[in-house]
Amino acid sequence: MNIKKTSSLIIVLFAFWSFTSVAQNAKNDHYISIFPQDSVDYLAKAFKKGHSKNEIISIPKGQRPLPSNYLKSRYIRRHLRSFRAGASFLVPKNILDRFGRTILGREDGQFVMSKNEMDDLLAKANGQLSYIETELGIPAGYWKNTELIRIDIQKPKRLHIRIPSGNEAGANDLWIPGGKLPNGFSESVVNPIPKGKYTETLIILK
Amino acid sequence: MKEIINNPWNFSFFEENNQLFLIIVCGNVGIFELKIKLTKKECELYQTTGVTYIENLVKDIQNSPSKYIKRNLN
Repeated sequence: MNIKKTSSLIIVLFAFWSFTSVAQNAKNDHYISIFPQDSVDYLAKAFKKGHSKNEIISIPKGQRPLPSNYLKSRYIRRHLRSFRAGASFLVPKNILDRFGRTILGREDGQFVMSKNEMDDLLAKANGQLSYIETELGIPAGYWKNTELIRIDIQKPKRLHIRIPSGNEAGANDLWIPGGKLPNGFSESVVNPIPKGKYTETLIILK
Repeated sequence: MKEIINNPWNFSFFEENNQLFLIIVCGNVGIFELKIKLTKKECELYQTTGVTYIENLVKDIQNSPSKYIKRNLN
């Protein structure tokens, strides 16, 4: 009888331990996606031995190495996995109208963030344009009175999604290696996006 | 308007009323444009150096748009 009770107790304790571990991991994953500081800490562990964020930033644009040369493959896999649900970017409608919709984005790579993070960003913005401008590094008030379009790419893997090298035209002086925006959002680049591989949604902002 | 270079999703370089203008696509996940009129000095450099000067100017603007934001005509 005692053995049965002890066994039951062990099973209950084990089940409780498993549940709390899973819950803690889920909490940590969520935490990483929300708080920039954690993303920065997470990024610090992304580099292969002998390489660092500052080392890569100090290399002039145009001469920076491929991310696979200095980032751990496990980090790259994990980063790209976060784009499985899709990738997104924002563009004023007048730019789309001017360049056309047959193929979108820069030849050397169009920057995107994960669909989930774009959903989070727009939800937190709650229609406030200034919030989005700040988070995406757009000069304040620049998108005012602009019709803004959200582009969603359902299968970015088919467009050779990759971590930016920092040599792309879209990489500015705030670029940091490892596929992170200064505020902690994840970024990647994809090849130009042909018609049929993306959807277009008008964003309503105040 | 006379278009001199049109590089889609990158920049447009054109002449209007005897003045030279650039529209440059900047930003990454969020895209925006800057439209600037070339200064007299920039026009002279373009005349002497050619398209290479414009391409380098575009790269500089895309790399540090904040430096040029005051010149934006949009």
